[in-house]
Amino acid sequence: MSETIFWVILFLPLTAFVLAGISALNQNLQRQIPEWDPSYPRSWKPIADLFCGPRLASTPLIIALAVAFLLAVINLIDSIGLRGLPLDIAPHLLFSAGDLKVNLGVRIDGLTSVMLVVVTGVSLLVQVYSTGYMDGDHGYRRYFAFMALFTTSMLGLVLADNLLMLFAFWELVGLTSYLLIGFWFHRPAAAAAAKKAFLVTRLGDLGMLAALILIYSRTGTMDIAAINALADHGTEAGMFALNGLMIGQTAMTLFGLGLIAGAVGKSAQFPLHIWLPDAMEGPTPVSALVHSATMVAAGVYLLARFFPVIHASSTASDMIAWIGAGTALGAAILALVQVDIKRVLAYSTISQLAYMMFAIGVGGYAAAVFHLMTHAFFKAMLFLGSGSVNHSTNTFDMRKMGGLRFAMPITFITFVIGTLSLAGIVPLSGFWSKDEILIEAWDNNKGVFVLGLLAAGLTAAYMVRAVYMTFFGEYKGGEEVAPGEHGNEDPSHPHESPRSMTTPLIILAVISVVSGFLTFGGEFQTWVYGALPNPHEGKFHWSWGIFLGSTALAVCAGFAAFLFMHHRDRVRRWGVGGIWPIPEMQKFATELFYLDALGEKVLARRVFYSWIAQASSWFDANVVDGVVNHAWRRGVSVSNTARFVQNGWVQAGTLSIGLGGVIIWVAVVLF
Amino acid sequence: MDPGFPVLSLLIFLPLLGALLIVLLPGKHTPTEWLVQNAPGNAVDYPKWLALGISAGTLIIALVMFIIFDRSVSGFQFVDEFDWISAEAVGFNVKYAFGVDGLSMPLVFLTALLTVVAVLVSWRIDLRTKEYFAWLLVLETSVLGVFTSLDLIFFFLFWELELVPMFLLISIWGSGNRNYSALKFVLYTVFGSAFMLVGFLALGVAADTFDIREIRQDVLAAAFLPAPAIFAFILIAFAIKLPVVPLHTWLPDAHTDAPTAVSVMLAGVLLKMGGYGILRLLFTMMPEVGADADLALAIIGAVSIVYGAIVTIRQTDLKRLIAYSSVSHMGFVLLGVAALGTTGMSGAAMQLVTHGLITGMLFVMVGLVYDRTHTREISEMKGLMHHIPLLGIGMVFAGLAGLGLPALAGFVAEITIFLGAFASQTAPVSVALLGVLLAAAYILWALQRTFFGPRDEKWAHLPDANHWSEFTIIGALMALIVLLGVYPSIVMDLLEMGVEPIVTELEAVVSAGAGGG
Repeated sequence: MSETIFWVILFLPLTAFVLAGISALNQNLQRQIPEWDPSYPRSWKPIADLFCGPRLASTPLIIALAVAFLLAVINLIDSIGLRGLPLDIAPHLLFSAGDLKVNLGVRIDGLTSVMLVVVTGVSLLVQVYSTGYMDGDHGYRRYFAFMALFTTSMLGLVLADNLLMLFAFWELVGLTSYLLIGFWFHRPAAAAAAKKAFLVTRLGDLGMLAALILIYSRTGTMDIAAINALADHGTEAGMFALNGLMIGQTAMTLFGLGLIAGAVGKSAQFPLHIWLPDAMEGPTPVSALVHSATMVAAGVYLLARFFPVIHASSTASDMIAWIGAGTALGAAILALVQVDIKRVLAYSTISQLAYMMFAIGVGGYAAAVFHLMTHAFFKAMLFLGSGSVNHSTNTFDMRKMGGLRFAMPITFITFVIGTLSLAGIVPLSGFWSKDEILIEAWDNNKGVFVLGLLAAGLTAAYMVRAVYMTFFGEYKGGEEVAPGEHGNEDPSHPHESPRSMTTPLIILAVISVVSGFLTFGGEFQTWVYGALPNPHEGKFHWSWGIFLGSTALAVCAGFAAFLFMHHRDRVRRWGVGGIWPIPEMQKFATELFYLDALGEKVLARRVFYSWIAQASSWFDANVVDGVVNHAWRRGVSVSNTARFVQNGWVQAGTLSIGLGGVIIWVAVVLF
Repeated sequence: MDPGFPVLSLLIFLPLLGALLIVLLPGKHTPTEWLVQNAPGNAVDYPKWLALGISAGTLIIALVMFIIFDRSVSGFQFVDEFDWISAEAVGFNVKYAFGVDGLSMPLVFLTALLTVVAVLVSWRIDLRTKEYFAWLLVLETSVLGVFTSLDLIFFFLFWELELVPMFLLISIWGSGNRNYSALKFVLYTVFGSAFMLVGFLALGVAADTFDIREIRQDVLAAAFLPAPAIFAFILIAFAIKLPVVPLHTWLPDAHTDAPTAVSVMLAGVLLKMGGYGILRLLFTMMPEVGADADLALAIIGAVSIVYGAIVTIRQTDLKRLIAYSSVSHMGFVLLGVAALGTTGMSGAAMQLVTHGLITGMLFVMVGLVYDRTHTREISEMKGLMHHIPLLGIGMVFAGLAGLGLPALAGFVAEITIFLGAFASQTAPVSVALLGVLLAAAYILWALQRTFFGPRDEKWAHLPDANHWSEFTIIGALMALIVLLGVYPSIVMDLLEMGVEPIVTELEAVVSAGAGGG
């Protein structure tokens, strides 16, 4: 494949962004026309009208993504032929300043090829779905403009061949995430969630920025391949050296930790996970694409990209293994008490991303990427399913749903397929990738394995609970459309969603069933190993013990959850309120381990805003400025006193001269 | 580049001539409603059209110079010089000497551009328009003079000349506590200039010339002040202008009370005179002292970045918030300079340019919003995006550029400074990284409180951007910010050319010092 193809893949959605942007701007301009200056050329109006149709926003994007997806698939086939080895593509100089050379370039290897297919594929399906879901929304055009910008940035992120370019696109996906979470900015919760997401992820990005600066100042390069090759060449003396580049172990560890900080923020891992559940304020297709399938997986992608760096330092790899294992279990515990279906899925996403994280930590590079791919498909499907439910009930609160399996059969069946896949039931795709990760963990770190296994059990439990609350029991009537919003006018009679929404669900369901089979024979592993400095053949791991253990655990936990939900009233009579039998534990979980409160209320609002910032601004107004003002006032009052002398009276002047003369005379006489 | 024609003098003095022309021609004073100012039936307001024509003409000259500027040779181009006061007559030598190099060319263009923006953003001014636009053009001449002077005396003259229009523009057309703010601005600047003048005289007397190109470190032995004292004296003036903590408190006051156009000029170009002076005068003429001062400069820079950003978060007045953010952003300039390398210094110079565009645009947006809401209190605004979406888009865009979003200009400057300065100034850069997070915090929070949230019917009557002047400004600034963000070479190459001679000399003195010591 020639390099041009990849720039085409990048520029296709960018073009769609420009068109959708024009369309969205025009929508606002048209509103202005009656108020416009009369001198403004009226003849522009027909041209303006031409660019105002809502389909101008969505159609080009869908076409662009379809083409991009095709190109990505062709590229993947090529890449498979090359066993995932990188193409030799020289970067282009964007700008230089002194020794600093900033390049734009693409790196194409097995990892990139897989990511390209995942991003364009899921994005395409989600955009098709969005034409149905967002139909009639006032911000339809703006929505597709943001989505197009997001897809562009995400593609740039996976194509980047150097860390600075990756970071730039990394920030841009953060921006589009901000814009999309706050898409319904008239809701204060959405506006607040958008800001929170941006700031919390940026806190992690500081680490990544520091890592970028550190690696550049120590080695003078930001090229991903060069850094990875360097990390792969440790010497005896605790140094890494290759091709004239050299870096110490401490710097390499710090670099790895910085990258981990960035990944923890972006992929919503403990303790920076608090932004992702709030991000569910965005439109549901956004949650499906940005906040489950692609952007939040960028953190995993980053660490997979720099896999040799993470494993060049045991501190870094242990840290991410334990952060991942802890997050996997913690988020699963939280998912079990959520009543909002999207929040269940959000905590589930955090938990699953954590699986990939600890997989990278324990050395399961291919397993992590594999889970990234399968998870992208089934989790996007689950989110789209929740959106489909919302489309007819106007709510995400599972307490207002129930019994929807007859009214929404396609949504129900696809949702169940997604659930089984997520719970790791053989032979769905989630089973293969999750099992792979557990085997890697078993081989390398037993503690991590135990946490991961417990999380797997909880996964089945919370998903069964969500399915039960949504699709079983009696229908609780949904929610009326809020004034000023658009939605189903008659939520008491739920109905299946339009075909534009169900088709993507069905396609994703099929992919969720079959995509796991890629792992047989180790083919998939071989492609992604091609991205490493020391490519080697992959192999298919299998362990009967882990298969039986994890499956049994998932089935039992799922069944227990089903029984609990089904006999809820009886259980209540026994005095057990929540799904966690001990009330303190239930409260601890519903309060989200108090981490959100700690981060937002205590650290951000109290310690920072009320103490540090308050003190600084007091200091600024009363000390820095106060001293100057005080000196000024003193100066003015001294001058006012002195002014008395220069009053311009001739008499006073004469008197002074006389007095002065007397003084001089006295002085002369005396001395 | 020698066009065989004093194009640079024309560029500098065209606005001044234009100001004279405006004063001499009749003006039209019509106290009209601001929205229907240009409705048919209203007579044309000569001063603003003249001001637009003249500033646009200046911009075209600057653009032509920018294009024909020879990027292959370093040093000054378009030089106009002759002896002004010759040594034979009075004992010292003053030259009329102007020229541009890679460092000043982008700043000259920025000045010309922002003056046009300032004129356009003043389109609805109807108080004493003749004087207003005349002073605006005088301001342009003085700033252009500072950026192009090759003689310390002329540099000083233009540096001081700028005070006159600024004082009058703030105290006559300003708002709030405008007399206090205007006076504070003048007193701070004059306080700094007094020191600067002493420094200049010490240099000039010792070197027997005031030519910036000729004064070098080696003459300082003969000066009546020790070299570090001269450096410190001149630095005070530039530090006040930039401004740096703790000499910054004049800036929020001046900004808050100044009319929009003056805020644009103040943030966009006047602050840049400080950063420009540090690079052009201090580090060019006294590299040895500069090399010793690097840690101090880096620390002041880092403190300005973080402290400025923290104080910004607490601001309740939207304009004051932007003003404080300038303090934070200008700290990057010192940090980049303190790197003492081509990368860091190019980044610092780039920050001057990008901050001019971005903060200029932020002030434009705040001004346009204020024209409509007549309040700048953040707590009184809510959900403005529903009523003035086009202005909202401009505001969000400018805000994102201000927080250093990639693909927009500010990111390029900041990342270049970080990458350039980290190796030599590790600790200050590490602290300064916090500024990136804080900038996101104050900008996004301000946007959330003013533009997002539910509709507020109080603002339902507000007209959105609806005048060609507004579309022109917003469109042009957005385009330039994106252009510099995705293709920075267009300016970065020039700036790199401009700072390279400085770095070469710095390295020479540093290695000589190392060899000698």
